[in-house]
Amino acid sequence: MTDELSALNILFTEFYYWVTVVLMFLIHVGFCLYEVGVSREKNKLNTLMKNSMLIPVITFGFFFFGWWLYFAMQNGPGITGGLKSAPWAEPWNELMGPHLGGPSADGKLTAEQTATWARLNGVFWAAFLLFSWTAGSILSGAVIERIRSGAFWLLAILVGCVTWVIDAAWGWSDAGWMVQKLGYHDAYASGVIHGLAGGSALAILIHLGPRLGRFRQDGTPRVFPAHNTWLIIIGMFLIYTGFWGFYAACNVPILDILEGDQTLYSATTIYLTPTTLSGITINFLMALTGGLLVGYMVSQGDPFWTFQGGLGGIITASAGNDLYHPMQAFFVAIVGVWCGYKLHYWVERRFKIDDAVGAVAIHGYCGTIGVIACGFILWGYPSSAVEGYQPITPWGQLAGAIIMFVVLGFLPCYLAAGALKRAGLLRIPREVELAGLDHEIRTVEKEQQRDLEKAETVLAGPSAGEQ
Amino acid sequence: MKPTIETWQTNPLEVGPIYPAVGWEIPMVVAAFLFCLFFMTWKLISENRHYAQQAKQLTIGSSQQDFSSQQEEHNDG
Repeated sequence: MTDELSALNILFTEFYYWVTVVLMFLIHVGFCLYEVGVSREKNKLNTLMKNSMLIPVITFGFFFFGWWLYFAMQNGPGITGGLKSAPWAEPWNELMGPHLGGPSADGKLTAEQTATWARLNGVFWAAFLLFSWTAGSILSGAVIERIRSGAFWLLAILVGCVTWVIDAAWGWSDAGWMVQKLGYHDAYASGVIHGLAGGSALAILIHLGPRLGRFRQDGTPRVFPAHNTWLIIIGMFLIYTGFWGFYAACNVPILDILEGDQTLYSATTIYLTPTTLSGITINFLMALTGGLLVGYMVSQGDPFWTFQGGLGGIITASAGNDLYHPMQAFFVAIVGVWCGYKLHYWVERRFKIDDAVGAVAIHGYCGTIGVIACGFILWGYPSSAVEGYQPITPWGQLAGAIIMFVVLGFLPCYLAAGALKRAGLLRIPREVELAGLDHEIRTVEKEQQRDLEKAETVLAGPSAGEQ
Repeated sequence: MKPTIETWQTNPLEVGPIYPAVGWEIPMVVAAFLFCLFFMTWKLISENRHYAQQAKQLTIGSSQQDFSSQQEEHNDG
């Protein structure tokens, strides 16, 4: 940070990401409210704690190895090179703590590394971490009311600190092998987060099975009414709000995009290709609009699916929202939400999959459809600012969608959830599920209430004045 | 322990890490990792024990309830 312009650039970037992190925190608040609202009265406290404790559990995993994996795995390894060196992302590195950018204490970092990462490492780390929480939260909603919290947290670490980070290294970085070899493009993480988390959730749901009573003997599904619709709606609004931060965090806010002596500062995507905050703001809102409209239409005005539709619309259009025209974002959102909604009910009836919040549909199916649609609409566009990378193609995007949903999403969680099931650690006992996960707390609360009422009766009695 | 920073009257460009105990990062990370590992192990074991106990209590409770309702039916009869 020797000249004023580069100092200002770094400080602006530091502050920009810090703000995105604060905004993205609202996504998690939203997910908590939303899940608690969907759960039944007898399970609401357990549902809240299961999702809330995902915060520390994923955070420690991400600190210990997640952040390092993002840089180390960009070549595969073994596809475009070996493991990449990223000393600033190692948990014991001095740049993980407060650092003024001067000389390295142990001499293992270059002057350029300390100058750049001293002010950006923490905010980049936190922005990626918040994406990890989102990935974990997507799973959380699908599996409510019957999964053990311990098992869920292990699976959340797998997805939030390993699989999503690897897919981001491969397909959501300026040097990832999928960008280089497949021309993979996913600017706002349709597949990288949502497709992957949806595939992971589906795999867990297969092993976990439906909630007791969810399907009648003839195989038709029963509706479990949400215990608080308002929590769901407020939660969804907060998720929308946090999504603004998510979009902002997917951009590099200020970068000189001209080579040579001339200078032109612009926002770029994570692939360092130019875009504008102005353009993506319109696309975000048009995708939300398309999703809300079609969600309302296909569900006949059901509030749950209308709001889910809005989210699904944004998720579907996200892969190409850096380049789409607003009308393209609008129509992609419509197609994605319509397909996601139909697929949800088809899978539910055909395979008896009990996805309590429609997470697989809204995140998994919409995200995957969005990645594939992007391949057709942006066919032939350069995937990177670097010369020699493959351009965007439908087959590159299809391969990318399969890698996200199946290879890194479905398969690792299918194996992990299967192992937990065999160990008897995945699902709560039948008796507890019937009584409710909050059974003990509710029993204690009732006893406390009775005790208090008894005491109040005594105090209100004839001798109360004497006491 | 000697503080990492003893005065701010220095050239900030020459200052690197400013937290205490520079050089002790690896032991600190290992200690934190072990604690987190302990937390997850504790959670899995205690949760397993807790659910087994709760399921047993609920089974006993429901069979007692069945027994008393059968008694009531018998008395009514």
